Amino acid sequence: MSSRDNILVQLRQSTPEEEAYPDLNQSWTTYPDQIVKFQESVAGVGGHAVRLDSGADLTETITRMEVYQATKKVASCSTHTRIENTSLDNIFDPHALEDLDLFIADGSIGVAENGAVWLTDEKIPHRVALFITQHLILTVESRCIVHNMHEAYQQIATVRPGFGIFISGPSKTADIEQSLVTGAHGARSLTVFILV
Amino acid sequence: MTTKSHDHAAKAKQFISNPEKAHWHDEALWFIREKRDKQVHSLPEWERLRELASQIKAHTISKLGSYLVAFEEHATALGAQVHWAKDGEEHNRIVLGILKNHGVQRVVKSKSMLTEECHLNPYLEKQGIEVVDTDLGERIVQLRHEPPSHIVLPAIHIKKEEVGELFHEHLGTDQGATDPDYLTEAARHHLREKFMEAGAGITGVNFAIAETGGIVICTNEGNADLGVSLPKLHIACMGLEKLIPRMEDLSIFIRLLARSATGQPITTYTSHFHGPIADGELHIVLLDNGRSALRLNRAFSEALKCIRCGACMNTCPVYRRSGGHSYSATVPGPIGSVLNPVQDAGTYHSLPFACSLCGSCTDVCPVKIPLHHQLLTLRNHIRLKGHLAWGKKMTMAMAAGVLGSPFLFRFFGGLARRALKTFPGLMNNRFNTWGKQRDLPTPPVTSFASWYKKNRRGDGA
Repeated sequence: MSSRDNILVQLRQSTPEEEAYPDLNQSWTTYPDQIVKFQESVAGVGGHAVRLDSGADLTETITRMEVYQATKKVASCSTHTRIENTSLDNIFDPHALEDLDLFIADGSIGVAENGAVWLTDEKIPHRVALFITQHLILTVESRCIVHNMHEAYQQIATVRPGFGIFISGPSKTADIEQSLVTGAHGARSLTVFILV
Repeated sequence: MTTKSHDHAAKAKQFISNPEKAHWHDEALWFIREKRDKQVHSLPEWERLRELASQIKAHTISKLGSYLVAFEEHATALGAQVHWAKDGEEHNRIVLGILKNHGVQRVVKSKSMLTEECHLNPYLEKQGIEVVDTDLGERIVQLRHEPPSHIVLPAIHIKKEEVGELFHEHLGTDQGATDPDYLTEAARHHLREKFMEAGAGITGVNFAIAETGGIVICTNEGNADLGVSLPKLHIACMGLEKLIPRMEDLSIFIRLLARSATGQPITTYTSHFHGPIADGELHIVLLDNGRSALRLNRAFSEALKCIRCGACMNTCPVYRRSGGHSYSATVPGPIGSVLNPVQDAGTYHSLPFACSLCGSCTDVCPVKIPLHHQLLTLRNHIRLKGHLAWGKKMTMAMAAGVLGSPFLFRFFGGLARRALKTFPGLMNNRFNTWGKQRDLPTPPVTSFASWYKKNRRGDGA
């Protein structure tokens, strides 16, 4: 008998009584202003969340940023800006992104309670761009900012095959004497633009 | 599996022989416990979340067989390949087979206590495959040729001066450099090279979702994501207990996990993998290794609820003061003191006694495992299995005799009060293990019984 069958036989023998599945449809903490709370949470995890009013231009705002001015290689999968000198569509091997300085992508949900932004790789041909880049910029529309993780998962309940991720702040570690260091392996900085 | 019994107290003695470092270790972990408390107090529904997490896990464990089959079916439909391993040996053989099929020579691995449990690294290295642990803490302990001392903070026992020396030797950092920013930057460059060269990424799994066939991995560094987004081959290794029924269950567990583990509201990266990367392969190895047997063990099956957050370690007064290595087990601390002796009492019989029964672990556990109750129950199991040391067995037998007889209790109580006062050396000597590193109390003038007789009897109190 295969290990699979052995394990399943063991799991099915003298099965303990079935325990009930609880009701998760409950009321959870909400915030007076979820956009303000989202900004606070992003700051709390080491990122920056900036409101971009409808009149402002994202491309122009990015070009004024310090992380942009120091960069050589920029790629964007955002529908809100075409600012890039490297297109992921033209890259075959993701290893070619080793020297990517700045990457811009669109998130579809922002979570106020923890500053996380949800995005999928639907529009990102090489998902490694999110992690290999030195600096990361994400966008999220203000109407897509939810209070908590329960509201977030309600929206992503229908799963498409592929990759989805919550990103909350820049890459970090505290593995050396509990000293917090940003930029462990992934992005050294994270800026989230809230599109109003 | 080692059959050699080991002694927590002896190992702990080594750890506390450097009191300064032991104190520093204690403080470092308490700092994390305090960060956890701050997060917990920011959520009024915390206790409700714990209760729900506990109920979801209880439900899943009760129907584990059908959920595993559903997970396999859905993961396979998404293009993943699911493997089943009864023990560590079979697990390692499966992983090696996949790597060999792809001709992989270099592997990057993110943090996975399960692969530690299976001793995957030495197994693959013996076959000529380079395995690089990419979590900074795990890389540090790997370069030191030692196991992690904590499941979330593998290098919590190491001072920055030691990391500086280690990196000077292996990564060529400046001699005497101890700045964590500088050392982390050096590791970033060193590991980027390893990421670029790797032919496969191995990861653990935090949650596997039965209804979707997806897996979820949580990291702060981004090492798991880098490791599986460059190569086309991802091998994810998980214990059977990582399963949850539905996607929405994550809303409960993700809220609990990082807050309990490190006092963060969420980890930096919470990655959901549904099927392999484009043109790539995703292999998911399901490991039993005693888990299905634990499920049938009524007294301890709740230990399967564990989500490996490490909160019980951070709060444990014994763990904080004796260090993770004193447990000689992949999973140390309170949860390790349950899991290890349940599976192998002969080797790990000393662990349930490395506990003051204070109950702090039970209080912080995000899935409400009754840890200190289990530890107490385990002590009796260990006694019944005959693993108690001779000294402890004899003392317990004598104590049972004395405490079971009012006459003997009065007699020895009186004797002890007098002896403590007159000949303290008789009571606290090298044969009395309870007297080690402790002062004996000042003896009371009278026994409670005679005090009661004099002061209370007859006054209706």
